[in-house]
Amino acid sequence: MLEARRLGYSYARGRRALEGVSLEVRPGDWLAVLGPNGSGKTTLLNLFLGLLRPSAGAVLLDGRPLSSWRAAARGRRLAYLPQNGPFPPGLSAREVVRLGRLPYLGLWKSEGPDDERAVDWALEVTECRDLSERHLAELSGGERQRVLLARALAQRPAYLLLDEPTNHLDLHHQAELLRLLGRLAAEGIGVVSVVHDPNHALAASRAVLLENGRLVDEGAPGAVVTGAAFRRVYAGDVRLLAAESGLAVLPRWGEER
Amino acid sequence: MRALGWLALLTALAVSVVLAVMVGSVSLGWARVLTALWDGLRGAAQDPIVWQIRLPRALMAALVGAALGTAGAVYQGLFRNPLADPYLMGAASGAAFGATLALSLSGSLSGAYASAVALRWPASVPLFAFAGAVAAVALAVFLAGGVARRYNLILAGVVVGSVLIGLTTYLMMLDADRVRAVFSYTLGNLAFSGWGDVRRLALYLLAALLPLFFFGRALNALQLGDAVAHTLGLPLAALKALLILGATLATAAAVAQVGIIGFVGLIVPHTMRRLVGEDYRALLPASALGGAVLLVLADLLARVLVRPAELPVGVVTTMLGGPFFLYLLRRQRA
Repeated sequence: MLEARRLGYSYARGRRALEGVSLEVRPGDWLAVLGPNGSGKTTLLNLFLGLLRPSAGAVLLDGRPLSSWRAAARGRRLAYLPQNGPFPPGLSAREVVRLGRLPYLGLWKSEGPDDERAVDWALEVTECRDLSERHLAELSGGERQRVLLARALAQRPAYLLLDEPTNHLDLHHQAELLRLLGRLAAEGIGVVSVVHDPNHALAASRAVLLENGRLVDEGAPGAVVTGAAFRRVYAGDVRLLAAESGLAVLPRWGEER
Repeated sequence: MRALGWLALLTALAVSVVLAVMVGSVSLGWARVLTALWDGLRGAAQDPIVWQIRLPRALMAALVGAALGTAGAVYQGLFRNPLADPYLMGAASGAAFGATLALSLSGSLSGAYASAVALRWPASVPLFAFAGAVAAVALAVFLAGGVARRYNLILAGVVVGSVLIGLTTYLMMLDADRVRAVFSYTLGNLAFSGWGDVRRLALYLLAALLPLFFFGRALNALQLGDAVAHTLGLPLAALKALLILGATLATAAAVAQVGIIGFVGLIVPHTMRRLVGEDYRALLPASALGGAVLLVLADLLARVLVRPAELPVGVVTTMLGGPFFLYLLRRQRA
């Protein structure tokens, strides 16, 4: 289990970015983290990854404080897909995905059959098979995002953390990625995705809403986006559409409130 | 294709060294050069022109080129900055300043060249050069406000480098006798290379350069960004410190021996990317070989362009590197 326990974080100048956040992610969960800009979503993700150290509370991975994990062992449990991260343009997709085996190989051991199997599986599940010999620079944004996700999956993580994974993808690729995350959760991976667009949270199994560094709502995504906290956080900026096929959250424009 | 690239590099290195030994005030035919090399190797009489003058100089060029080429590739990978280079980052100027300071403090400036001083102060010159180079890189990174802003980092490096070259020149001008030596540090020159220099530099490079070749996979992973590299289990702080120290020590060792030779660390890795691809496991050794070839040939040009006089080899690499930098800059912005 990946767990935040009364987690708090303050930046150097005393600004509290996160306060008293407790939540749990179990294998097979898909948790969407919602909240306006500056609400602490990215800080939460960075604490989960061990990129930041909590100023209060703790992150527990399989019951042990994250800080007590050896880096390589942590890399076999937790994987991360950043938003618009840099990438090596001149490496082939397969070579990039192989980098996901680093927590198993360290810097010097060469890949064995297990590693190649993990790479094959990651390329397969992200539908990147046909791209494997192409250089990252030659790929479209959507293809590249899938390869970089395959790199994270080659770590064979128990938990996958993603920062705005649908950013910069067209509708088709957004849908594809959301379906893929659903499949991964169904296979037992715990998925945590930070999302800007509440509609994408609706694909998850659970959602939390952050406001000013505090967790203000938690539950089924449909309940969170129709809840009172969501309406308060986004004041008059959203309208909800209920249709037979589900729910949609739209920005409100025009004068009507 | 890849195998051909390596074969081409190794052949180019062998051919360029033979060429460098052939050309000089007395031209030697290739047959004579090869015979002299073979005779010397099997312990027969050593042809003095080949063995005492031209071969150590060519090998020195190869070692310095290998050091600067590899250091450039490491800086580029580490800072994820295609414009990074030991010269543009200020490392080379820092090393030159440190070396000059060491000579100045030891009162040996009029002895001119590091090899002369090394007899009295064996460790101080490379040590000061290394400290100067590390301090210059640290200062450039600090002034640029971190390594993320790639143009700022290069601008800061160039400014730090210029100030340090000014200070170096000032130190030397404190005594007019020392002017000759200014040239040796601010515009690198291979004219005074003997076997002692080759041995000394080889030793430093063994310590500084060789370990770097084992960090190809780490540099590949760093291209995915620090956050991802961290989640892949890499100890970032230690890794970066080690890479900076290795690349900077290699730069400083080369500069302490022969002075500043600019742009090798920029030209070589970019050319090698075309040849062997962007995988740092191949790019690092290729940059070492390519740097060796480039500098052996550049030194050859330096010796023949204004015959019977000689140019400092730093002039030749700067003439090649300036336009190359502008080409890269245009491609970056495009």
